[in-house]
Amino acid sequence: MATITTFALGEIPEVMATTGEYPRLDRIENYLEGQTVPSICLYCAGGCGVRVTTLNGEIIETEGDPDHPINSGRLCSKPTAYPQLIYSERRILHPMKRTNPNKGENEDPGWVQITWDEAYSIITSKIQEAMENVPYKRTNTTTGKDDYYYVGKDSPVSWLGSSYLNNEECYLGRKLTALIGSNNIEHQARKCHASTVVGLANTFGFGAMTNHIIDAKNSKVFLIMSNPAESHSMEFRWVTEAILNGAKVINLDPRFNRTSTKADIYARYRSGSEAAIILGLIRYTIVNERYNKDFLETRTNAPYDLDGNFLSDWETNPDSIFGKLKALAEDYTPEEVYRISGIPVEKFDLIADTFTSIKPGNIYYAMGTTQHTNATQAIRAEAILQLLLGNMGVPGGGVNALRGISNVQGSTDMNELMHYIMGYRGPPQKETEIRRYQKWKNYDPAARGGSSDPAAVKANDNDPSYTAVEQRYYNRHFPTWNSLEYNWGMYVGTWPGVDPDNESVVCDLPVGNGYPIVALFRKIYNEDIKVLICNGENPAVSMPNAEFVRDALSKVFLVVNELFETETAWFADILLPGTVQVERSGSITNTGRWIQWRWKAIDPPGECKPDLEYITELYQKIRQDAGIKLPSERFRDDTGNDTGSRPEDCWPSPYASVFKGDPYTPEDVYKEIGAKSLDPNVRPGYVTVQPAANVIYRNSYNPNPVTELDISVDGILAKRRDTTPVDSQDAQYGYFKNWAFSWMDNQRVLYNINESNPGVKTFFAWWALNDTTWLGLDKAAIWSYYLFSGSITDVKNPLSHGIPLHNEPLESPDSELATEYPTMWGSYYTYYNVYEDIKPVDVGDSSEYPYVLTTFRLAEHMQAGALTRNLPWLVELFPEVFVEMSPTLASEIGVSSGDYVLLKTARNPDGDMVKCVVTDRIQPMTINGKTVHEVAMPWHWGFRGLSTGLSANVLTMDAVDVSAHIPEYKACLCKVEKV
Amino acid sequence: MVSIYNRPSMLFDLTKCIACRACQVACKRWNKRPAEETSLNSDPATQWTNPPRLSSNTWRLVKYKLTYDEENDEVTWTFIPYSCMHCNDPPCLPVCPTKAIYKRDDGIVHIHSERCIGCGYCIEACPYKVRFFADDGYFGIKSIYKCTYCLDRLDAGLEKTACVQACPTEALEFGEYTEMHEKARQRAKAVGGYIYGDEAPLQRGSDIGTASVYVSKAPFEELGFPTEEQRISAPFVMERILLERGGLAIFGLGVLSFLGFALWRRERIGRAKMRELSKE
Repeated sequence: MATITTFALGEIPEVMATTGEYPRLDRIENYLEGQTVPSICLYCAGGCGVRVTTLNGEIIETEGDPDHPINSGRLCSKPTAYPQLIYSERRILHPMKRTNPNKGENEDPGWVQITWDEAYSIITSKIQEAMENVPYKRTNTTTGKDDYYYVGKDSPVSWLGSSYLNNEECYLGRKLTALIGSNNIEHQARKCHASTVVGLANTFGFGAMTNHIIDAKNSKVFLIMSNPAESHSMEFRWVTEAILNGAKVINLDPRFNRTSTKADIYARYRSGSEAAIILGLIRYTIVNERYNKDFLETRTNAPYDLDGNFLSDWETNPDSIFGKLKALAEDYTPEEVYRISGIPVEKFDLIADTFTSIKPGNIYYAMGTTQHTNATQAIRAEAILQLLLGNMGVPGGGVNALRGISNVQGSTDMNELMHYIMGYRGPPQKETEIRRYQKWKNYDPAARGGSSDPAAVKANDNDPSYTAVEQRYYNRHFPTWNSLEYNWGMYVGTWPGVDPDNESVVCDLPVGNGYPIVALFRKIYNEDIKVLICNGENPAVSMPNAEFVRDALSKVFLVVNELFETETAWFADILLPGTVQVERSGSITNTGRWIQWRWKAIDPPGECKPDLEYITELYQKIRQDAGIKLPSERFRDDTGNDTGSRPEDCWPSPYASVFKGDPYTPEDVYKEIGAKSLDPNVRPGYVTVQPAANVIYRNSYNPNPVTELDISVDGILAKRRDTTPVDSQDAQYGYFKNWAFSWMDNQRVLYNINESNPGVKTFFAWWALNDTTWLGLDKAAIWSYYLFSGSITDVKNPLSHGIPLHNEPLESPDSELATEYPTMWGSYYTYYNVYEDIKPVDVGDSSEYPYVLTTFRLAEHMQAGALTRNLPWLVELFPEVFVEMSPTLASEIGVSSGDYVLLKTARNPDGDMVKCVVTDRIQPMTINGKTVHEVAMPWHWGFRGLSTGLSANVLTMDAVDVSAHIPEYKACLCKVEKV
Repeated sequence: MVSIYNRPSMLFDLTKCIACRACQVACKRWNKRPAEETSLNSDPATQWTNPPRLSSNTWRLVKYKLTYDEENDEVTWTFIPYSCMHCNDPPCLPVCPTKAIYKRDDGIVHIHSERCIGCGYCIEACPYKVRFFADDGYFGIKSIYKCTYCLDRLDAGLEKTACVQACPTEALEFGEYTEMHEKARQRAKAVGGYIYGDEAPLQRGSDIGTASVYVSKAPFEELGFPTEEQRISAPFVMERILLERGGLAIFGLGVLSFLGFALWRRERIGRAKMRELSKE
């Protein structure tokens, strides 16, 4: 079990001494003399600028970038301690190999230093061995011909990407896994905002924060269901500015936190009741007619019935979508909300009245909402509330998902995810889709060799053999596959393509989804997946039911690419030295979708290698040494037919091929991701209908820049650093359109039809009503086709309505509520069989585990902790892990503040010891007439690092949201005992 | 020309502070202070404050102060960043036997560390308790450390101290004395709160005002700030020290005057030698 140890802060002066010149005694002179390099912070997704001062190749100072519009020279505590990260003596400086064959928390890996070449050769031979018997060819019973493709989930090689990496590096991670036939690729985004992507994309069109960081200043009222003062301190700069302009702040949180101190109204609620609270607000809005009629009528599907007919009496007609919402929300009276959430009726009315009467209103949310088994529904409810109030597509409004890691938006966009390939476009799901794609290519016979006229593509719409849904689906996915054929040097289609229905399918994209992260670790545990390459991610701390994950990590050939020897690295077979963000260049995307460039400031120490270089070399070795081939190349070997696939021409980028000996830079990859138009010199003889590999990054690289500013950055628009407003709107709302670039098409507030640029302004949620009728894409989906399942008949399941409902967490503290609002977790979950076969979820009962356990973050620490628990200045602020509880509970179990308590959950029935902080900031709640206690624990700790402690995630639960596969970290049941 | 009007001043707006502690880390970073060995602060009233107090290695600290009104179920959690106030009339100055403490023309209270003999009288005299010993002097002699208003930055022409530059919410501001104090008054008015450190010269002709000025919604007595009585200014500090620590102080003063003389002599000899050297 994890132990609590104190740490040797005595090392600190040594750190400074051994790292030489930092901090210099004659520093002010060096500081004034040094050169400055703009970078972007590596911690949260705020996207703050960091100015690095260097002298003679050494960093003299890092501080907030005074020219940056988001932070104007300011920084929170984490990046303020940046030099201790860069020059930490705890960093890994050389590739290392494990010598101890046993793995475990108490098994020293016995590291032995090796060379990069040795590391590559061990990794590639393991990949080769694992992939030896993976089928790439199967005989089709209908056509009698051999089809060539890999099945994405059957690959024994898995990859965990990272939200700490730059866009170009994430992109190459996705490209590499696709090229070796694996869709078993996941990363942090699955665990933080997967439910946001599903919830918002199926309501609005894009699954991202709708407004941006600075936009908070335009808000007049905030509904904050996250903790920006701690988790996104610079976001709170702009909330503070709004407060100074008279904005009201409503903060909902199970525990009174640093954000609550600045709230006009604070209410505590029970973790897991978010959907009920928001549905209560929806009911309040409808009953008190606070909704925006014009907005609902023109921009949402509220006034329509399910057959797509506009109903002029939609406000009163029970058949309208609005009518259906009204009927379902009717149950969530203030009294019922009180019963479920514990928010007193009077306070709820005050909250509802405040939020629905002031415009524009802004909803902030984060993990407290996203990490539940019903998270997608809760987020949908927030989206619907904002639609009702007309708070969408306006500055100061929006549903604003605060994302956690500096490039988590970018890594999500680059789709290091098992069910997407690129730009939120999925892989082919079955071979019939590939045949259709071939037909689509045939509509525009020159799709890869002639005209790229979009009209030709649209011709596909008129094919009567497609349903309306299929047409939309294909028009959405096919251009991206086409682009990947061009940009990745692949072949997707049938051969030779003349008779798509009866030919061999040859598809280099892995077919079908892979395993989402929790199921993935079950497959790893079961040894179906044999190789895991883990880059800048720490699943041993960050995964729910972490002890099980650690067991799984002990069974797999594990490669870890890290700065520090993390808890996950402790289980690694090969440990590779990574680089800090100031040691490499690239673009990153902040939570507000700004794509910004960070410039390299210094060379990496030791043998640390930038990820772009490492991924490139790894792929080179995989190709050259392990002999891993594309299905199209196997097809060529077997039949002699050359499909024209040339991955070597396109790695790392068609703009620079390492196989041809070209020098390559992050810029080359950036160009591939977001090109506005095709460069005729790149891949001569080939064209694509979509030049940008990632459609939502389109136009971020302009090969033919026009304005002086764009020319000055060679068309790499992420590099723009001009704060001059482009027009009066820009000046008024703080868009900063000449600063970097924002997806899509530099639109700063999504769905804002009044924004003065040619961005994507409309909603474009898919909600084809049935297979033949299609309602235009310009409506937001209050009823969502893709979150509706006709096969589910249980009326308590929101998927049976297409409209959100409240459902209890899998572990509910109240058995009555658990029956009335049954959990969404169940046998219809797609990957349920993986659980059943390998490891079902350990579920605790409220009679044995009476208290609610939730987890939280601190301003001074970062996620799984490696980036802060190794920095003495930050360890000083929060040296130990703890659990917070109310004085009432503390006196019930007979402990006082600072005592050790034993925390037990169904995952960890023996319990683990942790110190408690007894605080008035937590109070018992009345849920369904009974007293319910909630305890809360920060989850940053683990057993390696300068400060070590119990990982909260050894207690949390690995059941997931049934639509988005995000684990239910935030509402578990526990027992607390005196030691 | 530096005058009371344009000398540096720091505004602490507690209504904006979110206790992210960027200032605490920025201070350590710029002033090269190592981290301290700390343990979890679980005290219900001051929980999370860490290190528990200022020290020679922690010149800026954010104090957390938690109170709970059970009847109305209302939590008040106040964050108080604090460090040397740079008094208009610093009580620490006249008690220093070796004249190590001095007030610069721009009002910054600073220490000639080579003159400090570690007697600790200034610690005794400081109403805000922001001065601390460090065992880093020669021959085991302790020296005193505290916030310097980042005078190396100011002297080099930078506009702000390290802590103020870092502050995300502009809870800390840095500027000219009159401007900051005026801003504080307006801000206090706007939030219906209180101001601290802006006192004009008061009774008995003493000036207890400080270069740093605070704004808070709650009265400062509730936040544990020294009262007017405690904030005695320079002309009266010797009197207090003698009253409170009479015997020791008189003995100490005797010894220290001797040491002061010795140091002064040493310096004189040193200078004379330097002159000789330069002649050669």
